[in-house]
Amino acid sequence: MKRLIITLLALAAWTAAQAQSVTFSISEGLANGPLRQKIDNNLTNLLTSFNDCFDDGSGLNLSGVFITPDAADALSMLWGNMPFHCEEPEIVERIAKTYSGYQVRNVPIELRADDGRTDYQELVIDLEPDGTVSRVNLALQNHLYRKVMSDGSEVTDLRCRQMILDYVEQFRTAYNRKDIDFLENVFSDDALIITGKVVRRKKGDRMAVLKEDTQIEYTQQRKHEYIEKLRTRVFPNNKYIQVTFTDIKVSKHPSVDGYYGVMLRQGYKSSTYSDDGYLFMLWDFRDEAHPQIHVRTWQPYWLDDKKTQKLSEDKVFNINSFTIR
Amino acid sequence: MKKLFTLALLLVSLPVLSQDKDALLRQINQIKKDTDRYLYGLSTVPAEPNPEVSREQARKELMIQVEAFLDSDDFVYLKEKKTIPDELVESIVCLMRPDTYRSIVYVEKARLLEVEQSLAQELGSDTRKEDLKALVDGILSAVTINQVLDLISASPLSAEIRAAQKIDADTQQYANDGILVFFDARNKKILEVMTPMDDNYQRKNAKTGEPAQPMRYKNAPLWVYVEGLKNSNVL
Repeated sequence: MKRLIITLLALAAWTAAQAQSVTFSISEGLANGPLRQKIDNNLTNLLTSFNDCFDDGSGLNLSGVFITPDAADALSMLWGNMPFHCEEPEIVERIAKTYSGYQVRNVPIELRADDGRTDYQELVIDLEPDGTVSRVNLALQNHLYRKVMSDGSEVTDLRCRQMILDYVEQFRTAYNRKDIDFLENVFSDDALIITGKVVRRKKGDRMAVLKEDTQIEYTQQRKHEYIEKLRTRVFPNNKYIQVTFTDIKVSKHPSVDGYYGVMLRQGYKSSTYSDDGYLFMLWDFRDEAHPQIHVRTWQPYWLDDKKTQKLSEDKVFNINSFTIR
Repeated sequence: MKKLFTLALLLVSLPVLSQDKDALLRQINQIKKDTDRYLYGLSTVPAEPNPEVSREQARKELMIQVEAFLDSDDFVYLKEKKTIPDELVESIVCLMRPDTYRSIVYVEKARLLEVEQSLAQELGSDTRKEDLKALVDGILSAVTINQVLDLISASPLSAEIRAAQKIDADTQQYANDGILVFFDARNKKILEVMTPMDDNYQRKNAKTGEPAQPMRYKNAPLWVYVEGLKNSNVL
């Protein structure tokens, strides 16, 4: 009986150990050859590293992975927020050529919060032309990515659409890894941040409202106020922060080149707070290497606690809500 | 001892229980790897308990791949249809987590080629070409719109011909791939006949071959569509 138990335990341990390694292979998008092999090996090592460190409960160790220092730092920050691993032993994905190298999307991971809660997400991995990992972000859901890439009516330049989506994914992941430096750099110095809050009217209540919609009260902040709040209160007071996007619409500014409006349905969840709302950002892509956000607005999706009344779509901020001078 | 035995048994059995999921994932990956044989669309939708949502998203992904695949000289008739027969499409749905389904929807490239060959036999036959030519020649010779309507009724292809003045979301594609007959609303005389839209969304005058400008006419034309007309070379 003892021998049987020891055998069973050994078998269980061996089985668990087998689950750690991940094999990555490109299905299409790059011809067979040394570069394809290099990328297959590099991403195999990257994903296996995630699993090894996850099982050890240790910090992220990416030795053996060809990765830029910035990408490694950003991954460590994301890891510090919520460690993650790849549950699947084999990942097979297409690779796409991009304006900066290559990109692999839809790499499945499971993130785990301190409280044991887990969350399924997918990674998007950018690589330099030589196969070095240059960026790893949490990906938009594939159907949202396709929605923007396929819809040529508003933003006709494919390259531009790709760039906008890349930055939206970077922006989202920056919250997940509490990257205050990225957020400080991406907002322009004169950025306007508007936040809406549902207020319940009481008899005789006198409210200050920005808009005619009397159900929502808007407050404005400048960039430094918003960043300071993130730096001193939001990020330190929350063990984890999770931002997800479940809808997206990209619009080109009707008259000023280089400006784009991005409207998202955002889910925000942290250790202490959660909300669901519309996030609008006015992006300036005139300097493609350093795009900036000039306006960020947030409005609640639901107008009541029982979630019976939605904010009307015609009340949601969009590219035409703001004048560019 | 009993508890230890139970624990050991549990630790071994957990991987066994997930074998169904692993087997499905292996199947999915096999399809993804075999790009010479398959076109596929894949979607994993977290926090969505309805598997049909991921299947439908995967199908939309597949149609993007199919559209790109059909955009080659090997495909003429299937490209014009813009859909593929449902019986060619297969899918696998895998429960990844309690509220997360992964779906792959796929089609064999060889089956698409078979359908194209079958359509070419049906729509590219000499008899059909003669019927299409007769219809087009008749429209080009007609003086009034009523003569065009009579020709449509009398054509051997009349059961298949779609024709209307109204263009909406349901009929837009037929109007794009059909002939346009512009006519004077008062005396019903035909003003111009235009060819179907080409790949650059341009039309030509069907008689002269000169570039045509539909927007110069105030009144809506009669559009006339029959499958295979656009790629038949009778215009």
